[in-house]
Amino acid sequence: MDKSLLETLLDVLNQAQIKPVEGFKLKQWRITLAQSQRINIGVKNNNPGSVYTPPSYSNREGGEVFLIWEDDKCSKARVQNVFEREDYWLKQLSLWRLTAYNDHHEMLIPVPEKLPQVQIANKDISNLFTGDNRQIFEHQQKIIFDRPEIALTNASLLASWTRNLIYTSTGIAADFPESRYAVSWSFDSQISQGFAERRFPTLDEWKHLWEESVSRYSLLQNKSQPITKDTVVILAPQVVDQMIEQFIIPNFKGENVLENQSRFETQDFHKEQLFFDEKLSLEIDPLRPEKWTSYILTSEGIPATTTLLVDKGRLLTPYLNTKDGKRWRAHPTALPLGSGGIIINHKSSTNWSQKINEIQDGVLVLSVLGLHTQNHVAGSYSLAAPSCLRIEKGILTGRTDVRISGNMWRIMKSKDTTYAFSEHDNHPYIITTTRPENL
Amino acid sequence: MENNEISLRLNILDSLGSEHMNFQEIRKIAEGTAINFQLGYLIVRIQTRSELSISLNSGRIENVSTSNESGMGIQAFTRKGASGFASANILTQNIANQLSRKAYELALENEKSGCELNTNIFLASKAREDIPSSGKYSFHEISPTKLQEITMEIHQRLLEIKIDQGNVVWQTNYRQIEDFWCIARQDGTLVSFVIPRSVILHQGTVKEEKFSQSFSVNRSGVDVEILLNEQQDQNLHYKAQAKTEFIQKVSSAPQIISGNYPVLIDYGLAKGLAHEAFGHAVESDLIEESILSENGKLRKGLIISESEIDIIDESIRGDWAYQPYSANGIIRKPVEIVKKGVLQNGLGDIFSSNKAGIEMTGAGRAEYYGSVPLPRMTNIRLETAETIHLPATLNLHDEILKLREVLKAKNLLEEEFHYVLIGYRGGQVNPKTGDFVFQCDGAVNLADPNLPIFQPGIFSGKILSVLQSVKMSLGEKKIDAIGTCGKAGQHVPSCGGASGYIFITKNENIRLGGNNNG
Repeated sequence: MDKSLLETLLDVLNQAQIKPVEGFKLKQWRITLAQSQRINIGVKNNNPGSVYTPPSYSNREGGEVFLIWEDDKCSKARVQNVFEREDYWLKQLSLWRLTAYNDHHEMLIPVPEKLPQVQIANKDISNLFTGDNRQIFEHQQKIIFDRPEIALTNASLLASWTRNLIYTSTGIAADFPESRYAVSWSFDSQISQGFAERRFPTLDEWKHLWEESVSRYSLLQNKSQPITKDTVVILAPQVVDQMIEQFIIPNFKGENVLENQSRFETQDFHKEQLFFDEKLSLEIDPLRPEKWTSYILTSEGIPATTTLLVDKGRLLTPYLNTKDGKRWRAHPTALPLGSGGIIINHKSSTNWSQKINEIQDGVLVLSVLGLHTQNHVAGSYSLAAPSCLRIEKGILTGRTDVRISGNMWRIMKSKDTTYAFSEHDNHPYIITTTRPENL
Repeated sequence: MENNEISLRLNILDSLGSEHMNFQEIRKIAEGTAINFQLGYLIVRIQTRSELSISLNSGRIENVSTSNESGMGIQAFTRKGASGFASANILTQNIANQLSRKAYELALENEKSGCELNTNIFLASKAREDIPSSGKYSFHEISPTKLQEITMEIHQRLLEIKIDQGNVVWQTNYRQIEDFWCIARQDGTLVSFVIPRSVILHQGTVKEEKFSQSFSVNRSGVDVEILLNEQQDQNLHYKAQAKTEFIQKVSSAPQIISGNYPVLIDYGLAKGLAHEAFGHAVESDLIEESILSENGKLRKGLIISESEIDIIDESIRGDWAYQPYSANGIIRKPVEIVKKGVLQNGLGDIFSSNKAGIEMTGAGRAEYYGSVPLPRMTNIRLETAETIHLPATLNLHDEILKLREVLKAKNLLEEEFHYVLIGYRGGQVNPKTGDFVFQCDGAVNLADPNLPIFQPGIFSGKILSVLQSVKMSLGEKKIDAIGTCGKAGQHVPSCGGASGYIFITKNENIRLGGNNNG
């Protein structure tokens, strides 16, 4: 086959706008494709490149088409390239028409808008795919050589380079690359750490993340004093990330708000209800350079922009795709693309390295079990946290196993909750006023 | 005119049954690639997938999507046993040859970097088999338009369910999937199999002023027959109705005071317990860090329970998690993980079973052609030797009544608190420490004749303690609790169940509930 997938689809869809398929012409269309190359390597039980984590290369091209027919019915389908099948796409067109459905909320194909300048592709990563793949192997070797001797170490490293193609019948014709690099490691399945951006980590970043994880692992080997009635719970950034995934992401999703499946109702936003602490804001900013959750265009063709979901504790808007935006009678907003895309800001936040000195009696929760099973609307949680670090008089002392319970909405509303940032983490440490129980 | 039109459309759909390259061509590419590669050893894995999905939301069609995807993944081994992997989503002999070379280059690079070597695959027994679909209906037997109509009819009935206070909103998803897998190895192995799956899932959200809780019920099978059956018998609808009533009562219910209690868990929770707490702990690649191992070997012979309890993993034809051969082309065997309370065997694949000290059971599964296979479960069930009959009932409420009656008649009911946990909302286990947590939809105190309902409280403890307290089961065996297992980021279908409600006595290491002090 000589034509690319994009060229083939453009031919097929343009034809369908002229010649009816199953009796109907195509009115509008959108093509979202990705040509992606990826390298994965790993460490399994201290062994680099084991049979379960061998160096892996993948090359995929595929995506989605969204069609609106002349009778306003819609079709959606996943597509990929197919060789040596001349009638394949004609049959697919027929299938797409036969699966067309009425969308009550009239889906739209966006029109071209000015694209933002967002750096989401890093040349160094593209080099991995043009011959020089040393860097990813060097990181793997670093993990192997520097790991704590007694730890069972597992790790995963991933690099990808993708060419994105978003074309619409309304004139969007975007073609841009993006890169990703993610590395994560764990010791004895108890301490885990990682880095995920659109570039390699700097030496400083690597050093900080590695040393923090090794030092915490070492502290876990010490048994600490039991918790007291005054011990407070501090959620580490990794746990805050999970809390955002479980509670913030689903409850701020436009569709869930509109369908009455969220903690919030439509009028809560329209009335700008004060729901959180007045010093708290929640933002989606996909314009930050080389961040994992930054982007230029959504898969629907909406250019990136920043969106404040919550300002001074007040609900402003859920995040909205094209369809939900239309139902909300608003322009689509920025989309979070995962928990890393939600930014927590608090006007009285401090620096973690200073804040920890002020904590007299605390427990730092590094991971929890079972968060995904909790009721996301209610915001309540009751979780086992088997590998926590005790904080006594401002110092991390050793391991303790606790159970934590609370309600994320109440925590984020409370004026007594404090937030502390570390420059190497996406999210803050959250110092709650909740008390742990012994596990 | 209308009949002609329908006939024309069905002709088109019939021809769409072969939208992928035909299976014979796929087998030829897989076998040719594996056998003719001269530099090292190859496992070639090709997958095609057809999928149709219909989503409805509060009486409207939200989404209908289709996909026909395919691709191949090749794992190459150097003669010393280093491996590399390459995959692409184009099925041609030329691409297969390119991927073989790429995978081999990566294997060489891996060897140079001092990787762990593994030559076990060179000793695997050769296999050849082609297993057709177990489905009664072909993938496109019923037109997409008709499928939409039936799904809508089933969904619309849900909207008639009323509750005393607040409201309930409904989503319905119907998914129909057909996977074809072909695995070839350099030793001449060539196995292929078709796995059809279908599911109707209703998700309800009960919302009152200060409370909201989602729950789901589902019905699974291999093809569109489940949709046709549901249209007739409404079994899933009745389940949805009973669950709605239960969840609505949960909304105004108190929380369980955190503590140690005797409990009964339903078969969905029992599947979760068997899967998370024992299944993963005996997978051969995880043995080294498992609480059920010692010096890297499975602690075979370890007495886990004084009672006669079995935990069995078995691939069952027609089941949601069916897989007759491993992703490495080795036949999958049923495994008695625990037999009569004693740890017996693990889930072993060709690469790590020997090292883990367990039998090789063909446990390797891959999410899709681009994934490297790992030892995984299929359908796992927990069975007790002692089972108590529970008379048949029409709905959940009556079943709970019967549970109390039977326990009381047998003198098994505790005086103050004896909870039954209803519905499985997921769970998690730390294999190293043996800590587990599970969540249910709600609980009922069977000890109280008024059968008060409680909000879900987390069920947690130590996996080595829990089976010590399992004594018996009540009711009939059910093994259709479907789910998706996400080990190492690879999502594969999982299923399982139990020989009924599992009776667990009070144990200091198993807790229910937690104070909500936020």
